[in-house]
Amino acid sequence: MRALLFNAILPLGYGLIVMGLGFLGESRLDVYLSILTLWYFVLYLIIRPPRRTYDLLGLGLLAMFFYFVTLRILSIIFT
Amino acid sequence: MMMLSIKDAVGLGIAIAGLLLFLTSFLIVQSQPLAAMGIGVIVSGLSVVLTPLHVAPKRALRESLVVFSKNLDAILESLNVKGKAIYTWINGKPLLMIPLRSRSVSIPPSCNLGLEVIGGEPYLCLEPPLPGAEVSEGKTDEHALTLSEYLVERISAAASASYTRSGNIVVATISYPKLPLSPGRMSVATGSLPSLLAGILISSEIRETLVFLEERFDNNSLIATFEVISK
Repeated sequence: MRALLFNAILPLGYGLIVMGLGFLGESRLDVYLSILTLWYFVLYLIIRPPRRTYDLLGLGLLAMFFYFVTLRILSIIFT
Repeated sequence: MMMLSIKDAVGLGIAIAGLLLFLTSFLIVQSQPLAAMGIGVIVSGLSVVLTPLHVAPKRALRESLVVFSKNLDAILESLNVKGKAIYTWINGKPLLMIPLRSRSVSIPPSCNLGLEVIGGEPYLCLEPPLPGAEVSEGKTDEHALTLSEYLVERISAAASASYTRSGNIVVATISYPKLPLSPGRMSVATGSLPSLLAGILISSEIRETLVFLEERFDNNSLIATFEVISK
């Protein structure tokens, strides 16, 4: 039940986030991905869906998030 | 060759569609919102793949626990057990150690399943059928199951369940238990089935070894008392 709920609400939220940010005229991919990552973890903590193994998807999203954060920090430092 | 279930195939299909959307929108159309949507679709597809296919139904879990308790009650009765059960976990698995003669003074560091004599004291060691209650040392608490999560949500065994700790004494309160209460030897040695589950789950959660002291039924609630002891 929780897995079904999670798998249903996750793409729904993603759709709304992308539409919302697109409507606001946001054009940076890293902003989109950061918000998508945040939504994933918020939903994961609330619903706590069962997983076959460790949450590899969450780890991947977190790695991607930190990659973009690092790029952003480096761009601030070297500009 | 590994066979894919329909769920996995659907999840992978969604993820591949998301990848195509991402590549097309990022490289050809050069639209960032569409590329983000592609990644969102990939994540959603992979989330479906990562979802386990079979989650044991509540009824099956409850039935297996009830059968376990009936068998345990019969074994305790036939062995004329006089000791109080020790709830602990070894190598991540919950373990129930029941001294046969009297209350154990020292807690054995390990115990093989079945009947075993440790330090001159005979013990009955059992691994209760409690899927998902494994605890690994060093992991965060999110891997431990809370008492109410298991008893109320997973197997609908009670209306509510909670515990309080005061010093070395842990008191579990299980209101409106829906699992059978044992009138036999179990109620004295290990506690009835709801108390037994509470002992295992609390032991896993606080990462301590517990000794069952007593249980009583009061105002529609089963109240089980345990003592925290160090190994």
